[in-house]
Amino acid sequence: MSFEEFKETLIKEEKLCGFRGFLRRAWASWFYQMKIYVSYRMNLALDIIDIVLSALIYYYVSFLVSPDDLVKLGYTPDYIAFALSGIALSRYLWTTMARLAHKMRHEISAGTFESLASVDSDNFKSWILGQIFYGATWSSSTFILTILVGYLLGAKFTRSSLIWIQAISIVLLVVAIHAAIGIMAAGMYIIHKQLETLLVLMISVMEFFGGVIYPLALLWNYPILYYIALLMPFTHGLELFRRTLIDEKPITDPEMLVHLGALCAFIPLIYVGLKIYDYYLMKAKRLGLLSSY
Amino acid sequence: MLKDYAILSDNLTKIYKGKDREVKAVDHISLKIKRGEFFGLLGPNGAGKTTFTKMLATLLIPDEGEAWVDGYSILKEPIEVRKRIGWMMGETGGRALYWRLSGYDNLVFFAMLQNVPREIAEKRIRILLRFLELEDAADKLVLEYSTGMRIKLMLIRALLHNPDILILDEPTLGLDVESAIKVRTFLRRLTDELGKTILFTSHNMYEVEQLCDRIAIINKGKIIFEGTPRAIREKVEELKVVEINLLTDDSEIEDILKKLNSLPVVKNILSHDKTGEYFKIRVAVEDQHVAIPEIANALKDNKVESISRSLPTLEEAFLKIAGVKIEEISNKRRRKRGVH
Repeated sequence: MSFEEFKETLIKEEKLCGFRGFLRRAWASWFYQMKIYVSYRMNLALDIIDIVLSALIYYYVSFLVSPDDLVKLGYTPDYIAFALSGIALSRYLWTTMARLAHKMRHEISAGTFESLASVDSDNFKSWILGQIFYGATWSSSTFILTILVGYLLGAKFTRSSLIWIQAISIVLLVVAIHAAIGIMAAGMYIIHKQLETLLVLMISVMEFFGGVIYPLALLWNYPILYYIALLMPFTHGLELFRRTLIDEKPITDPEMLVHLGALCAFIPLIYVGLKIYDYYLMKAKRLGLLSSY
Repeated sequence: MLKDYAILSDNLTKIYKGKDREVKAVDHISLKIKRGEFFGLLGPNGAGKTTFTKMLATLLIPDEGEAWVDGYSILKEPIEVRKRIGWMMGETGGRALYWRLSGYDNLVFFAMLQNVPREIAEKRIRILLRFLELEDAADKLVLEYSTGMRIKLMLIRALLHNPDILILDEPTLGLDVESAIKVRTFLRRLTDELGKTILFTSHNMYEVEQLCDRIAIINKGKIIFEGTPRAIREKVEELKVVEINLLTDDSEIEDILKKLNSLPVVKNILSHDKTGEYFKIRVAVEDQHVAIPEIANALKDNKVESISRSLPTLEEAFLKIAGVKIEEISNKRRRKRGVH
């Protein structure tokens, strides 16, 4: 190849800018992350096995749970549907809250974070969107697989497409709010490296109090724990999701509106999360921590 | 004024604060680099070269001072600065790639992040991969690449969005000789034929001398010299060097060095290298005309091929300007080679 050929490619091109450019960068962040994930074939296989196994575990646990007890607590007697809906939604909890900080750890220790920073044109917003979308894609795959395994095991989820649209809207709201916490944590992680462990603890607590595998009403006997549970967005998201998917309750139901209101109260976290991320990114640039792990 | 220079720094300072102490990595550096200039930044390890270039690339925020790249402030307009520069780190820069992606995918990914239209990016990538002889490895995962291949890939990455200014931190470190020559020629043509400005850091005196229009020497965070490579040599004209070439075997080396060290006309031994049977020694002297016959006399029993006056190499000049005592280097080298 001659240098002349190279020169020919150096026309001053029209760069993609504005919203179109932003979406393309987010797409690149998502697409190439998917490519990296798929390159780990063993991981992919283990993830699928994990989903099927956890569904089977709760299928057998369902034989131990009395349907009457569930009905007394205000749910339908179908424990397998109850547990699998909780597990399906909790997959989003991990990918939205912990994955971004985990990804940040990987990028910083691998050295690619600094490389990304050198070409960053929107304070990482498109990259973050792509990564959140990637996490949501992964969670949605496991979500769908979990629900499908549930159907095969006899779980009675709704078959109404309208109710499914309501359920998906709730999932999107849950993803957005928890992703905001994830963005905040990822920003703080650039400086405070021990935060990832705390985040895992926090998610486990949320999962526990949220009632992933037991009815929230069980906590009525422990009022303090019950009120702590109500302070967490996931608790409200899961209640909304379950009541939609299993009980087919419309969003206009007064009980549903209370949970929706509580969940929406966390929406400003999206703005706060992005601001905190920006703050820590700038702090890391001041301290020279973009590439030190 | 700001637009007149590709890079302009004004009292740029960076202090790393540790638990017990502070390190001034860059200490009030003011530099003006003209458009289309090939500018070399030289300095020993830990001198502050990388910190300085990272501040210009907006990866680090200075504690004091300001800099403008292509007229844009690194503090107030960092996104505009990043759009206009291509930044790469040399040997350690291989870490800045995604090892689980192919070389080609890495480049397309970064081109997309830099808003380069797909068609143009693909054409540019293919041509540059071919030019830097990576075409056959394009679809392999980067983890299968050698260090040299990763460095070349990083260089292509820095050029993808056709920036006017390139900030290259030791871009040839870790490359084999042939590749290094190719990369140097390519970089020089970027400034000569395309008018790109290159800020280049290096340890390699030879390449700095070959490539750079101007250089600055940085030591302990401060610029201690700025000028052309020729000017640096002239600055150390008082350093008189005599070069001796002889044929010898290893058993005689210690004896030869002892003889030279004992001569009053020899200030110190700058360097000595043995390649096969040939032994080259460079010594600093007070007066070359007086020293040469005395050295010849002292080595009359050895197989001397030539004794001649010599200009200081850029490395010797650099060491002198940087304030590193040549005697210390010389002694260290001798100790390393078991010569006392």
